[in-house]
Amino acid sequence: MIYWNADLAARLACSPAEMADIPEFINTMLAVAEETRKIGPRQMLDRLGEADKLLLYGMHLLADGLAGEILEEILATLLYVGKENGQLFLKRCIIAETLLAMAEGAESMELRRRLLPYCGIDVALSRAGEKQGNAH
Amino acid sequence: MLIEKLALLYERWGSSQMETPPHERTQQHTLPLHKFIQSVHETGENRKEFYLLSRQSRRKIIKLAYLLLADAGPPWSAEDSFRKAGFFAPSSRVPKHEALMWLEGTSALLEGLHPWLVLLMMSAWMGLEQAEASYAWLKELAAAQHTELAEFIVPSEMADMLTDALENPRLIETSLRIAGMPLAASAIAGMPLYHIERILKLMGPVGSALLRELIQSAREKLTSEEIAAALQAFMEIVTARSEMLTTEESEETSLEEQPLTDEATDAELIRTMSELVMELDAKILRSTLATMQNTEVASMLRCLEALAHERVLSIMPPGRQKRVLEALEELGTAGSIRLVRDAQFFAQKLLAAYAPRPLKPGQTLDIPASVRAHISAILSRE
Repeated sequence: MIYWNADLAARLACSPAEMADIPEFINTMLAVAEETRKIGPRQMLDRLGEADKLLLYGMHLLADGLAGEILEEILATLLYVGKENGQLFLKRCIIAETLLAMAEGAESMELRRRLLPYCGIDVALSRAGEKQGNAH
Repeated sequence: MLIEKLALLYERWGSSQMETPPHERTQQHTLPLHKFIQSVHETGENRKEFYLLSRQSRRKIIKLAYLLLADAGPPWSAEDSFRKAGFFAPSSRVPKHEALMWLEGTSALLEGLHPWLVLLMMSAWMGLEQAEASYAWLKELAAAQHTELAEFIVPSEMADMLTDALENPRLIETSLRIAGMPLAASAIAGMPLYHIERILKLMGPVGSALLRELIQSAREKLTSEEIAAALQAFMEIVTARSEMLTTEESEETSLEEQPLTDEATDAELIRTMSELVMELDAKILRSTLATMQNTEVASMLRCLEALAHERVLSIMPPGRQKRVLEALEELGTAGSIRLVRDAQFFAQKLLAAYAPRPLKPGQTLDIPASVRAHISAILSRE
């Protein structure tokens, strides 16, 4: 159950224009996860270069073997105390979710399922429907 | 789920605006934090030393942290003590984030987590910049404290399997993360040094230094049988991962040939999963379910007969039951391949639940024979 909280809801609030960018960002994260699966987090750090700081930090933690509750605790705390709002905060949540999924070796479909809700219900449903259609 | 964890933080502690400006945090918080972690790491299990450190500390909150470690009470008692000391009162002079940092760190140390992992958790409370600074400090510390491992071999049938599995570094990397440091360290403590070094090279500088320490500790505290048992548990995780990866690859290539849903049920899988769930100790089942998301539990429920289904639901609080059932309704039916994967995922989570964190001296990995047989049957499914 997600406890409804006004402060968190306010931080997550984005304009329609900002939300329109999210599916593309999710695709980027899916690609990062896929590449990390193939080459490992240590090699991925070399490729990421000047990426988002949370992504880089999280990738270091992955490379050091962190996963599960400890990694979730660290990432949730960083999100909680951070100053980002709106689209940037939403993107950071997506990054954290991706890191957690990579840490436990979740496959692409599973990761996609976890990230789609960040697009909002309408986009998530239509994307899920697209995928089923492609599978046929 | 991450968003759930975030919501709980807000629910429990309110707004997250930090009072201390970033440039002041280093002097005020980061340096004392590093000093604290280093002292805890060096003190080890000598609890009397914590009383002395408490007396030497000037800050009340750090004094309290040392005292709680000296008393070695249960982790949940830390919050009680911090509240009674007034650190969460509106009139407290200690900023909320700092109080939360010390509370979390003390609780985590009381749970037995390694001080370096606790540092990573605590430094997060100061923001990403400070967390990065603490990580950099930890890297230097790890480089300076190199634990030299001697050759120490525990004969085991599983050792050959792990040697073969090392040909797939990605598989071992992920398995190490899923297993967690304590189990991973206990598992490889009895491997030839050459293989240990190969595994350590897969990790970052902090992870490999930490794993070295834990390997040394496992060798000192565990018997050969316990190390062999840890290796067996670890290999079950490796095998499960390997089979999941093979299934994923074959699913991707054969997606066009397969219908989206396969109406045939897998009676044997359902029977095995149901027997497994019915035989599990309630505590283990509860802790396994706690690590799974609602959709994952719902997926697993599709692999169960009615009685086992009921058992799983009855072990959850009513609120979560409702959410899982809603998720189950949304999921709909699944093909046999999906059912096997969901069952294997549950088996993997179950193995991780059996491995205690940390592995305490004298404690063996205890999986009842019948449960182990069911887990093996599920994990060996194709």
